[in-house]
Amino acid sequence: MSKIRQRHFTFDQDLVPSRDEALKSYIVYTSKKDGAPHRYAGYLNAPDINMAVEYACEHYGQDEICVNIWVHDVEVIHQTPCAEVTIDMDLARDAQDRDEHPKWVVFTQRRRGDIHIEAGAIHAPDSENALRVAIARHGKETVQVRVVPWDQIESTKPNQLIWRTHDQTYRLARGYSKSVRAKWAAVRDAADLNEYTKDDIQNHF
Amino acid sequence: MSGASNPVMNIDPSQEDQAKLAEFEQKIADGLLIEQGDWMPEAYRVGMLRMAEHHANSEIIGALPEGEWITRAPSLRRKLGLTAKVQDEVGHGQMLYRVSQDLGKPRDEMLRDLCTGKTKYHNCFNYPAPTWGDIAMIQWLIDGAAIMNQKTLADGAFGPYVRTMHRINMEEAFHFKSGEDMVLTLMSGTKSQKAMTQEAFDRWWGPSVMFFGPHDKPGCKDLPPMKWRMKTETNDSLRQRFVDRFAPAAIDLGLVIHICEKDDEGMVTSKRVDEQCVEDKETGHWGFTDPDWDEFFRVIRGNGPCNAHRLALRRFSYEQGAWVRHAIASGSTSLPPAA
Repeated sequence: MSKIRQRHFTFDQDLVPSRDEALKSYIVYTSKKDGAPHRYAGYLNAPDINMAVEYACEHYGQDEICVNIWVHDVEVIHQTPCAEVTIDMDLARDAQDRDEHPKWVVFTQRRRGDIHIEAGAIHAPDSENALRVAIARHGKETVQVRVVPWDQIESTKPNQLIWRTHDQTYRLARGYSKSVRAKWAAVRDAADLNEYTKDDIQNHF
Repeated sequence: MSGASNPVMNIDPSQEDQAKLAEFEQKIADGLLIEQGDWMPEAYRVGMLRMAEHHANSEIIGALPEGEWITRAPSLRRKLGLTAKVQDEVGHGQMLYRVSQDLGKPRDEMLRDLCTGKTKYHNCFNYPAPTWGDIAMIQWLIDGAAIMNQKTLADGAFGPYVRTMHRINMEEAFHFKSGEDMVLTLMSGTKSQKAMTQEAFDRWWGPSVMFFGPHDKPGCKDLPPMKWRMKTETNDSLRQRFVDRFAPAAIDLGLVIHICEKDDEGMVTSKRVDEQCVEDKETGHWGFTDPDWDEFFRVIRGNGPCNAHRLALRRFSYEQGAWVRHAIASGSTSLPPAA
């Protein structure tokens, strides 16, 4: 048995609650390579947006290859209600996009349950107009359009090292696939092996 | 890792607004997802919260037996892999607590309820991991079972949970493959490596077969957890699928499937070959001896080999981390307590 399992813990007080009401919720998007759209990764709790970026780098930036991260407060989202099939394009009527207006980033969801993916940026004077423009430009074949003011998004620095540059395949399924297959080949024939691996999650192995 | 299908959910939807409930059920029958902000029956919110919270608890408790082995991993690559896996599991906990928070329970309350035993985590983490072979088995069998379960949970109906499952499954794929590599390596190794692996397999086969929870109640497909697609597969069908995949794999590797008696420490005291574990050539399914459900319920009630220790270590970490949470939340610079 390990030493830590043999350690005997005693507690002389009742459990004291922490105060986590001071934490806010932030949404995290990651980009897999330069120029690739930012995709919803998840959300997290943090005391402020700078800490949120730090947490995001350590958590969502380490799950898979990642070159850039965007973070914003949950509260700054404006989005259409989630449509059942596709969004009503009539909602885009009178959309006006002028460069002198503030910039908004558009995220869209293709089907219910999908993640939100960056679709582009637009300019609009306010959230209502921003949504209209976003629907006109990017709303086709989506169930939900989300706009976020560009100045509310905190990004990692250009060329910031998030996913390390040394070999990190030890933290990916494909880092083991070849070795596993070679070892199985010693005890199983190809047909058996294919049957067994059909339950693997194909996109990831 | 997940045992999200395990908590018994006694849900009574008769108190709901029947018109809204009918609309909600139609949406689910049409294969649409429920998103945060959509109307949902109270029983659904509470049920999803319990499921996500139990899953989150399992992730962070599940990191404990493996975390013990980081310093003793047999090679640098295994150490890096295990460190990354433990980090992943805690990250899954973070994501799932976040989903649960949106369903209405503050995170700190969830963490405290876990420490005090008010809420549960997956039963399999109440068993010990005395050797490196156990770490291989946790990653191969338990993560393999978790993937089977979570792939079906990703077909569920609650959008935020479904998205989290997709993200988690990507990482579980790595955990499972690395575990498979470890088992294959050990079983192509020396005599003593093989013996260690067999002993670890004996300790983990039972908990793996129990992983999917007790036998389903009759008519479970019409009860809310399945009718509302909180879960999409019965415990027994998942269990059969697990045995069909892993029993022949274990046998091909040279492992023997045993029925074991264990002592209070979770160590095997006697074993005999499971004669039922053979393939039925007609159905293609593998047989297996029904696990000891008395043991299952005994362990759930807190009397497993490691229950007390896991919770004590979790509580110790919670209390040791209080000053960090306080400093972050208040922006203060208070010092850590003396060790």
